[in-house]
Amino acid sequence: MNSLRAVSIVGIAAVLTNVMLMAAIGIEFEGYRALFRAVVIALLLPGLFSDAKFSDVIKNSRIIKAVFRIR
Amino acid sequence: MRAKFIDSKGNIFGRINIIDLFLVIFIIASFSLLALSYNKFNTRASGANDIISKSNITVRIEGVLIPEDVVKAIAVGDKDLRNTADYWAVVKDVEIVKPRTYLARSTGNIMKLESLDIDARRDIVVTLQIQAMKRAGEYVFGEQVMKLSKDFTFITSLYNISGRIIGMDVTTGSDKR
Repeated sequence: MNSLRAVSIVGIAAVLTNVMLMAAIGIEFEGYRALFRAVVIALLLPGLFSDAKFSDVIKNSRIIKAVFRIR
Repeated sequence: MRAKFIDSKGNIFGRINIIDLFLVIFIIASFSLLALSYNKFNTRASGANDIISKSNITVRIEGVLIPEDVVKAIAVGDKDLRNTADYWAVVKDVEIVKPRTYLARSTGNIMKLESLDIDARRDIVVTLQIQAMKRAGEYVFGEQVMKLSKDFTFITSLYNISGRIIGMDVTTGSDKR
């Protein structure tokens, strides 16, 4: 489970489950809430078509490197 | 060879890392949501509550098809149960008006009233003297916003009448700046 693809699948599944649960309890899916979820899915989608390892992606992130002082 | 959208290091088009992009958008979204909710809930900043002044208003409410016994119970000088130092309402006048033979339904169609319907029922106009609060341009009595054509409920220990506001005359506390 160290592939970016697996992380993307889990992430998209989580967002879709969240949307379905909210619909089930009657929260309308619209406005900023919908926009926010659409953005998250749009960001996760490219990961589906990648063969990268998630640990490599994390290590290569400039923000993660800066915050955790990874050289 | 097919062009890679994300390379093995997670860079989109070899430029920005997908985790970086995610974090940047997440931070921007968080701050914008924070700003939006701040405007929504900080009523003092948005000016929803900043103009509070007491206003004396003569309000005429029209009650349609009120049972005759209820009409008899309404007396000049009756006070609303919810009277406080800020809000109070007193009956100034009760007038029995010509009964309607047609009634406009909220669905839009017009219903002809049979004699059975209007038997022992009266249409009345009650004049109330009300001290209300003016808040953000609206006159508020307790939780009720008073506007022309809006329903207003007057509650005493004996009866509870609800009618449409057909007249509002602000006597004091109007816009004096």
